Amino acid sequence: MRTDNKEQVELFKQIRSTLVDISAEIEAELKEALTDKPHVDKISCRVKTIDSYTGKINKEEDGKLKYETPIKEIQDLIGARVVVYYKQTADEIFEYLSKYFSIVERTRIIPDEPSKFGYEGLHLVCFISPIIFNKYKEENLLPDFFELQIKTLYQHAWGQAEHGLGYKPGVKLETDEKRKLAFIAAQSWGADEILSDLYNRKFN
Amino acid sequence: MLTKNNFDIKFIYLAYVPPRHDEDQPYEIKTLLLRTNNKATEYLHNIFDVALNDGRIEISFTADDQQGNPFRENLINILKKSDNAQKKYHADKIAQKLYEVTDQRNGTGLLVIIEGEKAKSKRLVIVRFKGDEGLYNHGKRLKIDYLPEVFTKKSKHYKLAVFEDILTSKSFWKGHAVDKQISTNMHKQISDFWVSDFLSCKPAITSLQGTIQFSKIIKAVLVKTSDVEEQEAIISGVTNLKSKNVKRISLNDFCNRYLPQELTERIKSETKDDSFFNTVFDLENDTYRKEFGKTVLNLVNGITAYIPSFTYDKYVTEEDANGKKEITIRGRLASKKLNTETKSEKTAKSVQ
Repeated sequence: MRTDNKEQVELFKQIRSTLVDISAEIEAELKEALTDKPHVDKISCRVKTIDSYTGKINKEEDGKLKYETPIKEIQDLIGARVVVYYKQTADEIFEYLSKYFSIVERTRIIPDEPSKFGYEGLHLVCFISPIIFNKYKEENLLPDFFELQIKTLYQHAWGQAEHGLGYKPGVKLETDEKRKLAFIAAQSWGADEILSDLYNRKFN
Repeated sequence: MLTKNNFDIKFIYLAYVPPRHDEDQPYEIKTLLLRTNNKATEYLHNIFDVALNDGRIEISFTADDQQGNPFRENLINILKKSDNAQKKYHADKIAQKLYEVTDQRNGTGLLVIIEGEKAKSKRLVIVRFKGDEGLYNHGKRLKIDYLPEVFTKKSKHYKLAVFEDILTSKSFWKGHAVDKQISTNMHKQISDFWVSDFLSCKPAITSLQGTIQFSKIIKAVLVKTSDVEEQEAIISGVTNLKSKNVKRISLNDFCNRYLPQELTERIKSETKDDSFFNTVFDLENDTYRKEFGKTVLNLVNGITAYIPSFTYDKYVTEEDANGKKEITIRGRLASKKLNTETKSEKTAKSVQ
C-alpha cells in the first residue's frame, strides 16, 4: 500500500535538485549528439515541477491510484524536447536518437482518426545514459528513464499554446473551444505539410 | 534463510539445462527447489551476496516499442508472486528460454535462480554453471546430494546476472552481468549467448554513446599531452583498434592492450568518474571512423598528406596568404622511405 501524498511529495523534493543536475547533463548530451544535425531549432530539458508531480501522483486508473511508487514509475520526471523546422528532420532525429539512447518506448502520437486534428509528436522513453546516471547512483530512488519529445515548430507552438491555456487531457471543453483548438491544430498540420513539400523540392 | 549480508533468501531454483534437441516434442527440464540449508545453499548465498561486485558489465533489457520484454516479465513475476509454485512457473519459463538458446558448443548448464530481499530492495541473481554429467546420470531427477560437487569443481567458472531494484511495474530494467567462463580476451568480455540470446539484454550504454564518449576522452588526453611518444602511443592504439575489427571494448581494455601505465592513469583520471573506464560497449564503426578518420590534404605543388582528423588542429596550421591557404604541418619524423616503384609495377606484383 502506498504511503500518503505528503511523503511522496517530500521524497520528490529531496531528489529534485539532483534531477535538475541530471537534466542539465542530458541537455548537454543531446546538444552534443545533435551537433551536426541541421534544421534543429531548440534542445531543452526540464524537471517536473512539484505542482505537476503532485497532480500526477493522484491519477487514478480503474478506480485505483495509478502509481504505487510514483517516484520510480513516472517516467517523465525529466523531460527533454527537440524542436525542429521540418517533419523530415523530426523523423530523421527520431530514428537517430532511437539508436543513440537505449530506449524502452517509441511512440508516434497522432490523433485517433484521420478527420481529427490535435496533439502530434514523436515520443521516446530513454534510459538515462550510464555515463550520467552512475555519477549520481549513490542517491536512492532516482528514475532510470527520461522522456524525450521530438516536434516540429508548429506542433510545439500548438502544444505550448494549448498548455498555456490550461487545457489538459481529460478536461471537459465546450464544443466551441474544441473546434477552435482543432482548427489551430489543423492549421499547424497544414503548415508542416507545406513546409515538408517545399523541403522535398529543395533538398530531394 | 539469511545471507551474511542480511538478505532474506526467498527462493532458490535449479534447472539442469542440456543443449536443445531438434525433435519437435517438448523437452522436460529437470528442476529442483532448494528449501534447506546445506553446503550448496551456503555457497549460493555467498555468490548472491557478492553478485553486485561480481557483475562488472552493466546491462539493460531490450524492449519492443511499448516497454515489453518477456524475460523481464518472468523475472518480475518471480519477485511479485508469494507462492513458490507460482514463482517456479515463471522460473521454468526462464529455464525453457535457456534450453532454447543452448547449443552443443555451450554444452549442458546448471541454471540457478536466487531471489532475496533486504528492506525495500529485491534482488534476483541468475547463474549458469557448467553442467556436470554426474547430476544427470544419477537418475531422472536432479540430486541435491551431488550439487556441492558441481559447485566445488567449477565454482569459479560461471555466468551471472544480477538485478536489484524496488519492485514496481517500471523497475528492474537494468542489471549487471559477468562471464567467468570466458578467457581473458579483450575482444570478447561476455558471451552473446548469455547477454543477448538468453537474458534478452544488451550493454546498458549504446554503441553510439560509448564510441562518442571513448573518442572524447582519448582526444582530450591527446590534446593535453605534449610528449611525442605518448601522442604516438595513443594514435597507434586508436589505429590498431580500428584495424583489429574489435567489436566490444572498454577504455580499461584499450589501455591494457595499447598504452603504458602512466598514460592509462591519465586516461582514467580524464574519465572523472571511474565507471565509464570499465564500461563495456560495442564500437560503432561509422562513428569511430568519423571520430578517428583521416583528413586528406592535396597541395597545389603535388603533395598529398594524410592526417588523422582528430589531431588535425594540433599539428596543422592553416594561414590565409593572399586569399589562398598556406599549410604548415608540424611533427617529428618517425621514418622516411623513398618509393621507387611505379604504379604499374605495384599492380603487376599484386597480380602475381
